[in-house]
Amino acid sequence: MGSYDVFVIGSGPAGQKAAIQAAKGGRKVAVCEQLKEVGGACVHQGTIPSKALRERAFDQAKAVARLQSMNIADPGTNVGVAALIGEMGDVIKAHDVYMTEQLERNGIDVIHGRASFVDDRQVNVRKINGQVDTYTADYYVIASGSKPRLLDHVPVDHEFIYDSDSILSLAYLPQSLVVLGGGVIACEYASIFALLGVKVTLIDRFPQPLGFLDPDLTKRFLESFEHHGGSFIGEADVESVQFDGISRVETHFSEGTVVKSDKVLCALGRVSQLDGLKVENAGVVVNEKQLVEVGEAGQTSVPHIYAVGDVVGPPSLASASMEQGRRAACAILGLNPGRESGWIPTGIYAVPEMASVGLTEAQASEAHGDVVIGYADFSEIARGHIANSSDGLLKLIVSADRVVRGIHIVGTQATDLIHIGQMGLLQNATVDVYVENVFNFPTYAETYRVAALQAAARLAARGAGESERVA
Amino acid sequence: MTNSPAAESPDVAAVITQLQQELADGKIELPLLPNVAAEVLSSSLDDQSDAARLAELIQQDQGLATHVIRIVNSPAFRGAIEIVALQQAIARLGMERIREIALSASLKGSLFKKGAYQQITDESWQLALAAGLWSKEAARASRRNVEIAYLCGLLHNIGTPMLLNRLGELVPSMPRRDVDVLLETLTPEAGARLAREWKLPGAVLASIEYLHRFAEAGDDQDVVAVTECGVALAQWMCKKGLLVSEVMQLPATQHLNLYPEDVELLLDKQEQIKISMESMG
Repeated sequence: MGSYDVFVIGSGPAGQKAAIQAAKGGRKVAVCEQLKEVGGACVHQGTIPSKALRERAFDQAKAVARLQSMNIADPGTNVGVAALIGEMGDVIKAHDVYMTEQLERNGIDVIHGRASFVDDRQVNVRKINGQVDTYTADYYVIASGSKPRLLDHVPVDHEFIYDSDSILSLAYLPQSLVVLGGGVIACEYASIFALLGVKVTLIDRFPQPLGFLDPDLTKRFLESFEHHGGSFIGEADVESVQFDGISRVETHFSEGTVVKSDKVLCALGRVSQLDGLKVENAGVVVNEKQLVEVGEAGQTSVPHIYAVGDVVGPPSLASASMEQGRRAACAILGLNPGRESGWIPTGIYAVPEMASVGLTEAQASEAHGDVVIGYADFSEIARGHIANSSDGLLKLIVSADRVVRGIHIVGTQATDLIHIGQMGLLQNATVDVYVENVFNFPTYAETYRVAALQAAARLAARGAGESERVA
Repeated sequence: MTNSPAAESPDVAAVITQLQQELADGKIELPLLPNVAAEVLSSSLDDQSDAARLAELIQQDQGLATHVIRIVNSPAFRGAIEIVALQQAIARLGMERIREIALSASLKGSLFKKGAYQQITDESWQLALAAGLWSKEAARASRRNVEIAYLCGLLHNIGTPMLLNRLGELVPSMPRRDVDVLLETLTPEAGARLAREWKLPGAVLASIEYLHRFAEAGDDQDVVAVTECGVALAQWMCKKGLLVSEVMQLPATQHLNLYPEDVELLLDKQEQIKISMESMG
């Protein structure tokens, strides 16, 4: 029987950061991971592989465009997924090595196996060879992540109908693909496969995909998606999905229409991964959505058991999960974790890239009254022309008191650019900060200044209008 | 690369040496890849092929067409209506399944044919078929590619019938134990020769060459591990002396991160696989 100060279940972003923080605080820490490698779904099925695939898809699209610009015949875009995935494998391996070394460096024991609570102080870990070992710990951190949400009417078989964990096992690019869902995972894969030349149909029950995003971003996303041959079917009521027995998968809608495709990706969200963990043996409360109920710093109904990451629900972002892990470990260590950030940026690695922080236009109007918008189109930026990437937009939302309330970006480097806005939000920066300060030239960051100038001009115009009315 | 036989009589050692030499010199006669099998193989990873083309292909071989129709009307696949045409068969069972049936039937007819070592040939065919079907399930369970897994499992011992045919010419009667030693030693090498000659997909070649050595298979480690796991489950089902517990402890099974409970779940597929084998075999 092994004994630890802190026992972390799951080695994804949340578990890893919790473990490292606890180890740095001098605690004896173990991480239990059911996969052979550390990193969880983030590294092996989700975040890293899809982003790596996206980069390869861009490389390929650029190479084809370059050849075409030199009047060299299109070499064909149907590159085997295996080749693309082979390169992704190197990225994943490098990340795995780095994380494993980081855990080792911090003296953290990695236990390969499936954990289940015996009670609130003991866990059994079933190893890959069937052996069961028992461990005790003063504190536990549940960071077991999530798994694809499956529905009865979409029978995922990983051969014709895939989920987001198996889609990258494809051996070749299908000619056509239906993607079910309108969330981040669905839109990322839909747009990446469209860029790779696959005829993609994105199907969602809502009128627009990515409904939580600012509509200007969604509009640009759909334009780009359709430009690459994709099509979106909104407000769809999918009744069933089934292999037609010949060579196609049929997606049946309740009104009787059918969309046929070579393959289907079911990306209808993810649910918490608590299978076999037997949290009930520890007295941990799970809500009706099968999410672990937590209070401050991820503390569950059992004071010495914490839960972080996807098992506690939204925002289900790797970045937010890491911070949840760190804060849980700080709570265990009795350290002040610092002020909790109210502004977590969202990054969507679709084609095009999108990012957002702060309030949407509608939210800002509701909270702060009339707002003005400053836009900067990437086509107005020298860097966009230089990089042949002028299809992008930055949108600043500014309230009447000149404070910037939200930043929304679509286009190249959006997920990096957003952090300038995030820092500004944290400082309650006014639009003048972006106008009065100098940005490197030529950079995409200049879009902040361009958008701020437009917003400032609109504020001035509004002020002038109001003065006229008063006079 | 070949394994060393565990124990062998002087006679079998001499035959092994001779066959090794023939393989090295390219003197051993390599069977031709049947037309249907070649086309089915080349189309199995190609999304362009369609049902009509597949039906046309199968129809070119009367024996094969009859065989496919017989299989789709067998208890494993039979529906309410009798199947009388290949297009109808494809509509009923799907392109992938018909491809599998056609490929299997074609290989059986051309490679695993009657000869001096008929019982061993039959057993190796049963093992190949079971390995193909089990490999698919192992791939599905471990989220690896399912489509390529069947091919890799089915063809993992493709060198065996070729060796048995040649052995029949050299030594019409050899004790079973000695034949087993010979096959264990030479099957990977012979299979790899055949796979290269037939220009089989790289994953299939790797599964033949690196079977039981998946860790050495480089980028094909995963697919070879899937095949090893499929072969092990096939050996277990075909009563080749392998126990479930041994399948669970295989490095390949563990490489795929299949826990004992996952293997137990896989075993639930046994009846379904047996029925498929009875029909296809």
